Amino acid sequence: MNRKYLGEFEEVVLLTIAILLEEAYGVAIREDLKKRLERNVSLGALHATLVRLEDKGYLSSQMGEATQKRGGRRKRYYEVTQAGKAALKESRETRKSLWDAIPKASFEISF
Amino acid sequence: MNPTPAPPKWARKLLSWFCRPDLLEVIEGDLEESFYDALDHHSSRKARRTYSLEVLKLLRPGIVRSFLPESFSINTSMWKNYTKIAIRQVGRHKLFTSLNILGLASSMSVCLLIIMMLNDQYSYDEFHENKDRIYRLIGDCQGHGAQLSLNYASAPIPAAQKLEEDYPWIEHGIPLILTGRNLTAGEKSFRKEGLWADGRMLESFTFGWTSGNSETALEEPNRIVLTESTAKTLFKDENPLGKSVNLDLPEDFVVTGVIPDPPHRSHIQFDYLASFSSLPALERDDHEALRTTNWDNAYQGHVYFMAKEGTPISTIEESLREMAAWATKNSEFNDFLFVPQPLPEVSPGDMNLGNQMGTEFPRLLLYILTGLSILILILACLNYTNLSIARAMKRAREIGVRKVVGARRGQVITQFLVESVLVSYLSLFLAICMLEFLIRGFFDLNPFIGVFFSFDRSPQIYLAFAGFALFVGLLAGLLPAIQLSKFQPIAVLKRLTNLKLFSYLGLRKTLVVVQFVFSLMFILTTVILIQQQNRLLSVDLGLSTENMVNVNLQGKSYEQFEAKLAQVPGISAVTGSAIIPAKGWNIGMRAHRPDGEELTLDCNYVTAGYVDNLDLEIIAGNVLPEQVPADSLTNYILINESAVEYMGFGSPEEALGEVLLENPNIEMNPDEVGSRFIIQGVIKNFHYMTLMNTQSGIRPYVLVQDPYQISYANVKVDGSDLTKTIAGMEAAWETMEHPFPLEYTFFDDEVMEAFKFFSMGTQILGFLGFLAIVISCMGLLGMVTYAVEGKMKEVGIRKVLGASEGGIIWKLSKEFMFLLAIAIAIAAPVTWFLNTQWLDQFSIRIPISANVFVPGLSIVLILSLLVVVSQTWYAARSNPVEVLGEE
Repeated sequence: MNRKYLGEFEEVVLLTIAILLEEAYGVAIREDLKKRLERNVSLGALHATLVRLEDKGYLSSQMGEATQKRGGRRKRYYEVTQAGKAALKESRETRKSLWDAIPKASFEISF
Repeated sequence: MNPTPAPPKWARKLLSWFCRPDLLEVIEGDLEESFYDALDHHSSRKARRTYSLEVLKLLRPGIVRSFLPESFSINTSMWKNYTKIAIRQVGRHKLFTSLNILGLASSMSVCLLIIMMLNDQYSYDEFHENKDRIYRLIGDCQGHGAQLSLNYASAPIPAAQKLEEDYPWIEHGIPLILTGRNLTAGEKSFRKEGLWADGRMLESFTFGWTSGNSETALEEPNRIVLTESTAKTLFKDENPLGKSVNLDLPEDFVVTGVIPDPPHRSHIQFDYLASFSSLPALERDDHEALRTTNWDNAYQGHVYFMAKEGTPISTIEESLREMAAWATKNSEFNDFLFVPQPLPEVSPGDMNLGNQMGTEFPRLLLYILTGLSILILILACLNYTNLSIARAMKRAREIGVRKVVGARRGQVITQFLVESVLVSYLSLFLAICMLEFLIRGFFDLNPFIGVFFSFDRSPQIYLAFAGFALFVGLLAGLLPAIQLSKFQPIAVLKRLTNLKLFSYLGLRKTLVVVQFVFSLMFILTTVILIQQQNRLLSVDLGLSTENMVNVNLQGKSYEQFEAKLAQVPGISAVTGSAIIPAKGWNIGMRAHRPDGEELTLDCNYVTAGYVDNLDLEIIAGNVLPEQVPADSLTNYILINESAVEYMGFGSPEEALGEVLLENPNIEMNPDEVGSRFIIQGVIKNFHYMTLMNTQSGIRPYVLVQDPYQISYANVKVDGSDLTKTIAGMEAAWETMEHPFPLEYTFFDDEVMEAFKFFSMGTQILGFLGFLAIVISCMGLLGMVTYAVEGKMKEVGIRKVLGASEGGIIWKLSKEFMFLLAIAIAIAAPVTWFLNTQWLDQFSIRIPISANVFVPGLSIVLILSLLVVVSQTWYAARSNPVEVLGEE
């Protein structure tokens, strides 16, 4: 995905990180996605996306504490940046405007 | 069963191998955390399998690291940094850089010249479309039983026809015979070089075509095709087609075509092409030697052939072997050897191939020149290496810091290579400017050089230069880069001042010694050449060459010309001779004593007055008489001192009046005929050959009075009004009705010709020597500068303790003088040995001793002393307070 367009998965990951507030790191994000969206996600896909989002500037990260469970390795906590928030908002606006543009007759769905 | 289940090791290892280093820790942690989480709900086996799968699923672009070597995977910012640092280094150390650039540029310009030469020479005959299928027939033709080897570039002409007839893979057999003739159209006559050729030549080679019908132009006998410039010379702006040209043959030739001048880079050169079909008639009437059907004449023509596409070389070789066997069988006298020589290999040529077609520069000389220039280049690169290593101390801190921050060794090496390549390209620009001057000087060396070489400045050449500069930069910079990158950060950052440079010092000193050895060798050899040349020039040849003009009679009568010259002002004497002495020509003579003893002597046929004209010295008897004996079989002769000895006379007087016989039998048998030679006088030995042939001393020599064998007029001019005299001679010549202009040379000029070799050699070696010594001195300067800089504190302390300035200068310079002494100790004997090899060829030669070494060594010593002392003197004069005060 280029430039300002968020991929579907990217968007989902960003939102999850936003939800998790202070606790957003790899395993936690994955758990949340599994619990909330019933979506199984491989660490590979997830980390690749996290790295890409950080490169795009939508995420910032910092190293956290190491734990025994992780064999003494540290975690990396992610946070959504302003740019990330802006991207999310824009995506939401885009969706909304599209939904609004649908004529009554074609989709009999109530919002 | 494992008490503490753990993730599968292989998966972990795999991960740590392919994962990006910056992501590894976190990902591994996540994986392990998930693993232990999974253990809460699943079996350890399942958890392990999940782990493995997860690892495999991590093989994605964003996560897998780059496996390219570091320098490529790092993006452009590193290159930018290196370039920036390199440029700063160059700017900051102006002395160091300019020394390097000057040295490199000078040697590079010589190499660039060689590159242009090589490019020129190796691109001969490139323009032929069919060059891959054209071959030249070379081989040998010797009497039966002789040893055959590749001796001749020429071949028997009938081979061309036979190839076409007998072998299906042949497309064209192309015979070519060199012929130099006078072309006359109207009143003007010009000597031009051309070829007997036919349409096959035009079809196979790509010489182009201007006008006329190329297919039929050379079909009929007595047809000729002119090159554009020949056409212009003969016919000015008129259309030459259809006009007649006289070739000094019974029938005139009709111009049937015009062809562009053959390009410079073609070994086949010609001013005209005459139709091959004319030859059989001419051979019949003896106007041309028998070649077209004569297999035994393998020396006067060339055979080329074009094979059909795709013919393998083995087939060709096989067929030629067959043909050689056939020719050998059918020849009464000779054995044959035939070998195909592909067109691209014809030039640059093999010196051993006789009867070459034209301008083929010997490959051996190219190799020698290339070798010399590589030598000079190495000297300059050694400089760069030396100076860079000398700077090592200063860069040590930078390197330490870089390594601490994470630079790998390869990156440090790359950085220094960028620097050296930058310096190399800067040198290249300077070198290209110097090249222009170099080329001009090169062509000025000798007019012949213009014949062999023409340099073009194509983009291809500049590309070659750029590649060459890159190579030089890498070569020069490699050693210092490797050494510098070895520095350990800790040692360096802790400011251990006695950094282990000792091993490097050994290397650097060796480099300087090597440079000086070569410089010394060049210079000493140049001195030897100059002195030898002077020695030879000062030899009294024993004859006078001053004010003498030798005229080539070109077949005309000497008596006639002599008579006409009587009218010309400014001439003091005229004599005639068969050959001109002191040029290396020689005539051999066989005669007999009356008792039958056979004698072999060198001789020359001359007219009366020769002795006086050439200022030879008579030591016994008389000069040749004015009147020739009526009996044409009796000739008066003069012999030289060596001949007196050779013939066994006790003294010159004894020889007077003695008779030599051409045919020993005429005394016995009145029916036999032969000349009789009466010794009229004895002359002092003189150098009738060139000084280079007199290794064994002056041989027995005879001057025979014989007016029928005269080919040259020796005209002594009194020098009063030379131009008038020459004009008078030319006018006299005109009346002789010879189609060609007067051909004359000044005797002393001709003798100087022989020294041409010396002057060229002196100039080239002298120039290279100069270059080498300059480069070496620059290297020395750099090294001394840095050594002295490093010792400043020591100098300061010594001065404070009371050392004198002279003492300090001596102490600092000692080291370098010692290196120089080593260089001299090596260079002197080697030079002596090498030069003795060729000097021994001369009977008159200089000894290689003080006369050579004193000037040669002084030059080098003075220059290097200047270099060393300039720096040490400055150090000795320094103010200890300033030096010791800084920290």
